[in-house]
Formats: sequence, structure tokens, C-alpha cells
Amino acid sequence: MILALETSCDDTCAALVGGDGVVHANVISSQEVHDRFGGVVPEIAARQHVELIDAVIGEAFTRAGVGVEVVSLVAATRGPGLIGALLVGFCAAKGFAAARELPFAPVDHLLGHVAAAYLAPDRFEPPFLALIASGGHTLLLDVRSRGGPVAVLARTLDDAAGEAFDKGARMLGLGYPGGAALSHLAAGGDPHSYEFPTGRGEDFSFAGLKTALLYKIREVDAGDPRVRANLAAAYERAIVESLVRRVVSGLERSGSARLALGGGVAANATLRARLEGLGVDLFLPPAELCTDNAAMIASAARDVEALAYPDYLGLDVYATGEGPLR
Amino acid sequence: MNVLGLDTATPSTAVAVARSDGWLREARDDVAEGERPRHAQRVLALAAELLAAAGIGWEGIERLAVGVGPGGYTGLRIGLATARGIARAHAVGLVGVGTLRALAEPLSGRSAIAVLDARRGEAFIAVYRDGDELLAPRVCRPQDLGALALSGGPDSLAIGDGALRFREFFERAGVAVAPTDSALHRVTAGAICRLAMSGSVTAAIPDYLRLADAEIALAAKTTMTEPATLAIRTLSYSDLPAVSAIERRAFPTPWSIAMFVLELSKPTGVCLAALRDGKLVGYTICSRYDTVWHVMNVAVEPDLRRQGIASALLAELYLRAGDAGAQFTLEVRRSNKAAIELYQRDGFRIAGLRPSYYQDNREDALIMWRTPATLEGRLDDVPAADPVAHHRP
Repeated sequence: MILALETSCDDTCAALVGGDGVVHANVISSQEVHDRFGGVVPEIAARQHVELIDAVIGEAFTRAGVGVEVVSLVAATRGPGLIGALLVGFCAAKGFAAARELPFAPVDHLLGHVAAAYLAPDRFEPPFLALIASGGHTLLLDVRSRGGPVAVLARTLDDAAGEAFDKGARMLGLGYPGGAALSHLAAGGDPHSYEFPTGRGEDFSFAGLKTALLYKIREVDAGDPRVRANLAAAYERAIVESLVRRVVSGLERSGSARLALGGGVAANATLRARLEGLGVDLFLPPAELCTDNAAMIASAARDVEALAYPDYLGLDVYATGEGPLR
Repeated sequence: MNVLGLDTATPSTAVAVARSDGWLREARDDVAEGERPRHAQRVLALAAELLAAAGIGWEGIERLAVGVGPGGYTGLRIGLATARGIARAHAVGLVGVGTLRALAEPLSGRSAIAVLDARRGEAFIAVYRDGDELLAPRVCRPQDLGALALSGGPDSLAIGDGALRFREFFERAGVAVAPTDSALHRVTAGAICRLAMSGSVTAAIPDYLRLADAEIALAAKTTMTEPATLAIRTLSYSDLPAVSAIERRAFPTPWSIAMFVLELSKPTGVCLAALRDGKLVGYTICSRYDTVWHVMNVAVEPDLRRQGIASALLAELYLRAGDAGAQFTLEVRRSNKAAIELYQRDGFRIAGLRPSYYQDNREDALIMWRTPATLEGRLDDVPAADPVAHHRP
């Protein structure tokens, strides 16, 4: 059994997964302490992780109904993410592994999102393209094999897609985190009422879109509920189209007709509907495997060359902007 | 008992193994001035070497002790998280040891002014004498160090990287600082092990002593703009980490978590939490003995005092106690003018004195009562003597 920990941002996660990809426990403790700051505060995230990590690991063993002796491999997210947050899960995992002299697999967070597709019961195997879109990352990847090299077909030049949702929501007065509220408001609006930019080139970019919304809000009567719904719908459409356009281009370039989704934005209904309409072989993981979780880290660990004890004791984490998909 | 001890609160990584037969060995990784600490890379490797040298291995650890700070935030978390992982792997008991207490531990026969560099031009300070805490850990500005060091008495010695960094402030106050090359300036994990074996331990949670910057900024903003909504509810066990963090900042002689657990377990008590925007900012512990309600603890996050939080807690307490004839009593430090005024506004009156009641500085406690009579400015229904053993010794 693989014990995996993931603490790269604001979710404290532990999972127990079999070598066959069967998830025995997938515990996710979302820190609901950042909303009042209008965004994830790294120091507060790290403080919360240290308070929660042991309870979350304990809960994983309880839910799986097994003891620590069944663990044969320990894995943890090494990066990219918030350094202080990453360190909590990474050090706890290394401590656990060392104390039992077990092998240890350091896992890249983004490759973890890809590996969510390899979990039972609905395994989706390469080759495929993977769109990873969350509050921290937006990437289109060409995955040729499990554990093999992964090519980055597109990445964001500025904000992540989830960040664009949250920032737009804040401009529309929907609070933080407002991505889901924005989608809810958009459902009652006309997505074609305004034309927002979707960025040029092969990479993603949401900065221009954000500015366009800001100017549009000043120009129109944003107090009118119908106008607000239309703004939300047009803004959401721009984000979704921005993602879909690069996906379509990536599928054409790679000659693939298979697509896997990951990250919190994968839960967006408009995006899902749009991608379902593309007529490709589409893998949409269940919600708890889209957002940050440790089951996906355990899954990825199966394809990573694990380090034997004590070769990993000196390993450190890496920040956003580093790692194999840098 | 075989103990693995670690401390990562300072830029050094300090590890020690103490065997039940008295064998003890230390290992450490010191970084040069300005160099990045290597806690995450070194702590487990040093532990593995020592455990092998001790011939006990990982499974031979019977107790795990970790320095809980104050110190560098990231370092503290690396130590705590690593220890949590090890403890979970072998179901070993994990205890915390105050890093300043560990710094002071090797000095005996005179008071240790334990001082660590808190960055941002501030210092962490505590004062110990042969294991007794004369001044609880706190963060302060360098210009306050001299005055705080006085609690150690005339033969004190200032030690720690903060004592070196802020040497001039101690020398100006006539407090001796250990020589620059003295080993006393370093926190050792051997001290962590010895304190763990002698039972001088605390909860294994980081003692940051400071709120996160975002919290401070938000609190300042909230105070300036609009009063945030304050909610009062029953205190629960899950609040205890937050309670303990406030307790240690609010009082020179804080309650242990065990004392809170004891009070929460009493069926006759009223324990309340004050939450601002969902975050615990204060609490009160009140216990009923016979017919009298004893207000044993009222605490508010120090940065948020004088904003009505304690008053709101007390108002809810009077309501929950239930009847107009209820009698309340409490002790308060004679010097704590703000609290005395608060209680007086609520109808408490001074009805007695416990001389030299507080152990840390031998300060007198005032006994205050709130009864139907005191609410009308009289004392005639206040019981003459108070039989209960007391609570913030």
C-alpha cells in the first residue's frame, strides 16, 4: 500500500492507495481560513497544515481500516507549490518513511494531477493530452506514456484559469473565493452579450481578459442584475473558450483524440459541456480527484523511481516555477 | 527511556539521542551567518546517524521530543512535521519542549536570560533559573530587553544568538552576556532530551509567539473600518490549539492544555469562545463550586484587547449562569488596571486580597465578587472566606 501526502497549497491531504490503483482512503481537509483574506496566505496555510497533518494521516488509516505496517511505499508532493506549505507534508512523509526504513517517492504536483487518470475504477491510460487548470496552474500537456517524459504544449503566461475566475468574481462583488458564484451568476446571463479577449498565441493568458472586464464594468450599469449576469456569462465564456481553443489546437498538432482533465476548474460545467462537444475520448475525473488530493500523488508515485532508505533523507522541496514541467 | 530530541527553531539543525542507560550523543548542523538553514535536508540524516551510533535504530525510540519555539516559523514546522511523521510510524509519544527553556537548561546556579534573534529587529526572550520560569517567552523590541532581563535578578547571564545580536542593550542595563565563543549561546538537542526525560514538556505545537502578518494587517484594517462581527459560543476541545496559542501570549504563567481539558470536562462549568470572523480571539473558563461561579480564566488575543471581546464573553456567561441571584468571583493581579476596571464596569467589587499570590513575581491577587449586593454597590452578601484552591498560581 502507498501512503501519500499532499500539502502544496491550502488543502491538507493524505491517501492510501494500492499498487493496483484502488483508492482505500482519500482524505482532504480544506482550510476554510483564507476566505477572509481574499486569497490563500502562505504563512497561514503552512500553520494550518502543521495543525492538521497528523489528524489527516490518522484519518486515512482509520478510513482504510489498516495499520501502518501495510505501507510499503511513502510518497509526497515535492513541488511546485508554496514552500512553507509543501514542507509540512514532505517532511512528515519523509519522517514516516525513514522511521520504517521504507522507500520514498517524491512526486511533482502537476504529474500528480495527470496520474489521477490512472486510478481505479475508471482508468484512462496514455497517450492523451491533459488539461490541468486550477487556481495555481494552467497547463496543456502531451502525455505519451505512464512515467515517461511529458511535453508542455501550452502554459499560462500570467494568471491561472482558476485565478481568473476568482479575480473576475471579486470585480463583480461576489467575494472570495468566487469562481463557483461567478459560474452560478453566469448561468442566468447571455454569454454572447459582450465580447471579451481570449488571448493570442498558443499559450494561455488571462491578464487582458481581467482588464477588459474591469473597463466593461465601469462602462455599463453593473448594478443591474441582468447586466451583471451577462458580464459573468461573457467572462466565463472567454475563460472557457481560451482553454478550449488551445486544447483543440493541441489535439490537432499532436494528432491525438484523447483528453484528460484535472484541477479545480475541471469541475466547471460550461467547460465540461464544451469539451464533451468536441467528440474526443474525454476523461473527466470525479470532483475529489480534480481538486488537490493525495490519491493522485500516490497514483503518480507508482511510476516514479522511488529512492531507497536512506537516499532520500536529504531531499528538499521546490517552489512554483521549478520541477520537470518548469 | 530512549529519547530522540530535535530542535530546528534556530538556523541550526540540532539532534540528539539519549538512551535510558544515560548514553547521550548530539549532532548538529550550524550554518554561517546569512546562509540558509538546512533543516529539511539535515534533520533526518543526523537522526539516522545518531540512532545507528546508539545501536537502537528507529524502532528503539520510546519518546520523541521537539523544540516548539519560539523561533523561525519554517524551521519550527520542519521539526514538528518531521517528528509527527516519525511518531505516527511507530506510535511513539511526541512531546514539545520550549526552545528558550532548552537554551537555558545547561546554565545552573544563576538566572539564564534566554534570548533568540526573532528577525525584523525583534527578540524572543524568557528567563529561567534552575528550571523555574521567571519570565515566560515573549517577543519584544531590543530596547525592552534590559528591563525584561531584570526579572532574573543580579547574577543573571544573557545567552543565545539574540543576546549576542542585542548585546549592547544588555550591557547598557548592566546584564552580563556570555562570551561570544561560549557554547551557551546554542540551543542543543541534548537539553531537549534531558527536559523531555524530566517531564518539562508542553504540547507539540509550534509556539510562534506572533500572529501571521496577514492576521495582524487584517486585524488593524478591521479595527479601523468596521467592527467585525463577534460570535460567542461554547468552547470545545477542538479549540484548544488556538486557545493555547492565545494563553501563552496573554499570560506570564499560562495554563497547560491539560488544565483546559480538565475544565472542559467538568459538567458544571461554562466555557465560552469568542470568535471574530470565525477565528478564535478570546475565551473564558468558569466553574461552579457549590453555588458560586468561579471565573477562572478570561483571555483575549493581546493585539485585540480593549475592543469589547472580554465584555461580550462575560455578558454571555452571566446569561448562561442563568439566574439573577448568581454569585461570581475571580482573582485579578493588583497591577492589572485594565482588567479591574472592566470587572468593575460589570458590577464586580473588590472584596479581599491574597498576598503574594502569583508565583512568577509574588504579586498580590485582588479577590472580586459580583453578586446581587455588589450590583447595588454593597458587599453584604459576599461570603467571608473562599474555600476553593486556586487557579492561576
